[in-house]
Amino acid sequence: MLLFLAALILFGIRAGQLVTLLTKARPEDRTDHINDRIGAFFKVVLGQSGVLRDPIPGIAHFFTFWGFILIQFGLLNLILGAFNGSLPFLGDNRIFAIILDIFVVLVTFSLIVFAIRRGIVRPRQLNSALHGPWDGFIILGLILLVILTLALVEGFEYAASNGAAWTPIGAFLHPLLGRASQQTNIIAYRSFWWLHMITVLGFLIYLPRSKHLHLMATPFNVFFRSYKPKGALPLIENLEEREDYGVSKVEQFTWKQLLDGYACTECGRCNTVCPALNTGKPLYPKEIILGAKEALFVRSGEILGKDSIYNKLGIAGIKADKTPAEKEAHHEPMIGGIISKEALWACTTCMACVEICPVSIEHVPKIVDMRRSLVMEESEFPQEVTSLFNNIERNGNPWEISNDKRAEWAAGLEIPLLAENPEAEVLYWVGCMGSFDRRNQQVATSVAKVLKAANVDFAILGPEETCTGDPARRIGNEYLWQMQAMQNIETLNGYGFNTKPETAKAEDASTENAEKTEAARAVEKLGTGTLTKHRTIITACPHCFNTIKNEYPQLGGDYEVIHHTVFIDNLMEAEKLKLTTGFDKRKLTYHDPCYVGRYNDSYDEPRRVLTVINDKGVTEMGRNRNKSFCCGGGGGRVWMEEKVGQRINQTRVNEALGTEAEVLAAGCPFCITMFEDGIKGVEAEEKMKVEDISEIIARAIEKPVTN
Amino acid sequence: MKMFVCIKQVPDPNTTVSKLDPNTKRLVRNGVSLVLDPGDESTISAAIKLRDKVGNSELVAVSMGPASAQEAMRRALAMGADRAILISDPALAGSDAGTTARVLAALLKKEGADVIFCSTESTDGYTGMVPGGIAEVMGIPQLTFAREINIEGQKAVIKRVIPKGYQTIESSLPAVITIASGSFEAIYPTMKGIMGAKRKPYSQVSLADLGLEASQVGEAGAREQVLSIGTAEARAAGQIIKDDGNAAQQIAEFLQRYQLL
Ligand SMILES: Cc1cc2nc3c(=O)[nH]c(=O)nc-3n(C[C@H](O)[C@H](O)[C@H](O)COP(=O)(O)OP(=O)(O)OC[C@H]3O[C@@H](n4cnc5c(N)ncnc54)[C@H](O)[C@@H]3O)c2cc1C
Ligand code: SF4
Ligand code: SF4
Repeated sequence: MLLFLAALILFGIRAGQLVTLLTKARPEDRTDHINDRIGAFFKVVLGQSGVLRDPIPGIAHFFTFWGFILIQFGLLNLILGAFNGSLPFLGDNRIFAIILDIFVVLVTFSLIVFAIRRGIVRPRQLNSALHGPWDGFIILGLILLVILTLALVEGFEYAASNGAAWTPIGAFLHPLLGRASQQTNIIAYRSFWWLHMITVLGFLIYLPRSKHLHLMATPFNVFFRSYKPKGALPLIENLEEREDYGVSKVEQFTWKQLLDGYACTECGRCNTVCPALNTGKPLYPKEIILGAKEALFVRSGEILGKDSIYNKLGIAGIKADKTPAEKEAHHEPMIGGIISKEALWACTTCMACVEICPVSIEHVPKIVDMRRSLVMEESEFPQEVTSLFNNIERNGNPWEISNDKRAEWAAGLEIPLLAENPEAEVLYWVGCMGSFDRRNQQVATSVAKVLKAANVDFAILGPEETCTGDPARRIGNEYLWQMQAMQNIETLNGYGFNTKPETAKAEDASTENAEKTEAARAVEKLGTGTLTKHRTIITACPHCFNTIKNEYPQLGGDYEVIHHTVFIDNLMEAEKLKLTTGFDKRKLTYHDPCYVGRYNDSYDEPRRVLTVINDKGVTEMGRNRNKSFCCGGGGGRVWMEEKVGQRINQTRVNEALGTEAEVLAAGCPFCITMFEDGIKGVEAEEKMKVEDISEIIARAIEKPVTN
Repeated sequence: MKMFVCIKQVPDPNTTVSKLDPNTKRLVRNGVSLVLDPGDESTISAAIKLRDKVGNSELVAVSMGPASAQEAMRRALAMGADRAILISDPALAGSDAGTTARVLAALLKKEGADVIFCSTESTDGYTGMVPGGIAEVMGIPQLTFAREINIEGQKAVIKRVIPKGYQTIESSLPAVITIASGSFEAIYPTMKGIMGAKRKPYSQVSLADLGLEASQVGEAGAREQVLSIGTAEARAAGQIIKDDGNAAQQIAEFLQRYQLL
């Protein structure tokens, strides 16, 4: 009994300490969308939908998870049994006994599956820098011990009670245990009962410092996951008055960001999809999450403070430094020590890691928070970025070009400026790439052609448009982003594009299925021709699109923003654009830009458009839709040199070449640039062309309709 | 140690096509975006580096220019200068390089400068005469094309870029030091810097504060005069060689014609 209490207290202290650490972190409200939260809890936690995406370990995990919960009830039952009691309903229930034992068997098989994976298959992503190679096996061993002792308890209990305490395993094991005397059976039953207890308690104590902390934390993490637009980075408020910018010390993360660390199951799925890691960069998304957790644990004593009871009890260091070398190592800063700066700069913010994580961990905001500290507190970033920042600040575009020249691409195309046609129903936000980059000026010209063909009443801003600030924000220069955003919001609000003019600062635009409703509304509008109040912004740049749509609301700019591929799809559906079906006869593949696909869930619209005009439809690459592999240009990476490993753009181009398509269709100026470079890099100019969807459509428009 | 860096606000060289006013024969500075001279950004960075290395020192940014130059001064403060002084006086309009040097020297003397940083030349006026002028008026040495700067006791020791390597030279203090272009990377200001710049000491001084007469400066005091201005002949278009198999040959011939091969 004492032992039992001691273990519980120890467990309680550890758990308390973990929770207290979270309370020392920054606040963050995660109680919105409460109904969705409850729903997701059932599906992801109880239904294990996250891990089940990977079937073999997934099913094994499903059984282990439920088996473990059942064993807890079985355990209570056993404890009560020792006092001649039992759990109400379950205690003497044979069905419970049967279910429990079925799970005992299933868990045993699952453990074998896990052991094979860990010991023989050894997927690289399972390596753990934080817990070493043995943590996984210790856990497997402990679970096996729990199961074995339970089986033996049941066997001897059955024997000792002469079959009164019936359980399937007990009955099955009974003949195998030999015909010992009643006395021996009772002793054996008692010993294994204790052994079972001790293992379970040992497990409890071991748990908080192992990766199986996730058993406790995951349900909460799933419950508290973000329901804000996926593509929006958190706003830094009061930039002018605060003392810190971003995260340099681990306790500057919010409690939810730290909970992510507890919840990480170390499955390594994020590593398997990371474009940076997969091309040899030193970025392991899993180690970012675990690195933050490690930084938290090694500094837990300091963070909790001298007066904390945990420190007084002398067990504060959840991960105590044993040797001087360890101590030395752990006084490394989090950034540049536990987590390397190179890792932070390698991220393309492609969101593949966030998308695949079974327990809703959010890597990207953490990476950007740490970049923010490097940029705004230390002025430390790849050298190439200095001119980017200066140019955006001074010229309103990433280059050394006067912003006055923004509309030069449109000369002679008869495209009105919004200043000349202030009532225009659609604003075509051209973006810096479309305005200044030669290749993407062609895309802009095609977009304009398409809009004209569909008789859309549109205009552009010209010199009144300035960089949205997206690259600056993703690189970590929140200040510059806010300056750019405020300037653009002023312009857009001035022309009456704000959809919520009364609320200067919209907190959390409810964007559930915003894509769909927007699309639906756009179709409606186009169909009925009631235009006066309805104003739409369209853009061919997914980065402009994402930041205006999902991030400008943080500063009081709420707009209806539609990516051009979706807009074209709407135009076709509303029959405003009539095209020759199957006009394009070339074999074609489509690359989902991260900021259109994963960031904003538009997978079908671009494909629908392409399927209409291409007679073969879209020949998919292996990694498509939400598994699309980044072009390498996001997160400001397009402005930085790629010095380490293979080139991300070439890797993707090779994948596209594998489909034997002649055309790589894209919907993002950065993808286009990256892929054209990539194609040159692998010398495949003869084999494949990169085209924006609008360019294919523009060509189809020039062909008379034949069907 | 008191360190000073002389800086100037110029029309943004990256975006502005300089225009000259045919009447005043001067650069048009209205209606263009004005920035801290990018060359001066590197010089400020070099100065900050030295200040931090030497320790116990102050770095002051000074400029002579119209009131709008304040913006450039703020940038210098955000980058890390400790305080800034702008010399501004209507009588200064139309000053030539010599006058600029005399006015700056008057202030630097008054302030008791030990080390004075300048860029080799400004990005707009481009005479490259001010730094030498300051040294001359103050009667102190000038060290040029520095790519590495140290203070050893009461001496400045620099590595000076020369065509085939570098020289190490030393001089007494005070001294004017000009920077070899490309040797120091411009610092991008941190948020602390940007916000702190608003609270750093900033002062504006007039001619009278420096004990100078209006007749010695500006148009009146100028010893240089711009006689005429004209447009440079447009450069002849380059020759584009299309590769039809013997491009290498053609390029070689082209280079040979100019005795470059
Ligand atoms: C009211 C007013 C109006 C002015 N209008 C003009 C104008 O129209 N055109 C113009 O070119 N100049 C103008 N000046 C500034 C001054 O006349 C020039 O700076 C001077 O002619 C220097 O010539 P430069 O650019 O060739 O210098 P350079 O000798 O090429 O400059 C070399 C370095 O010396 C330092 N330096 C040069 N000038 C200054 C300065 N003013 N303050 C601090 N450090 C300096 C910098 O480090 C610079 O990089 C004005 C000044 C005032 C007060
Ligand atoms: S962050 Fe998510 S995907 Fe990555 S290892 Fe942890 S649980 Fe797995
Ligand atoms: S966002 Fe993309 S590049 Fe960044 S860590 Fe995640 S998977 Fe890797």
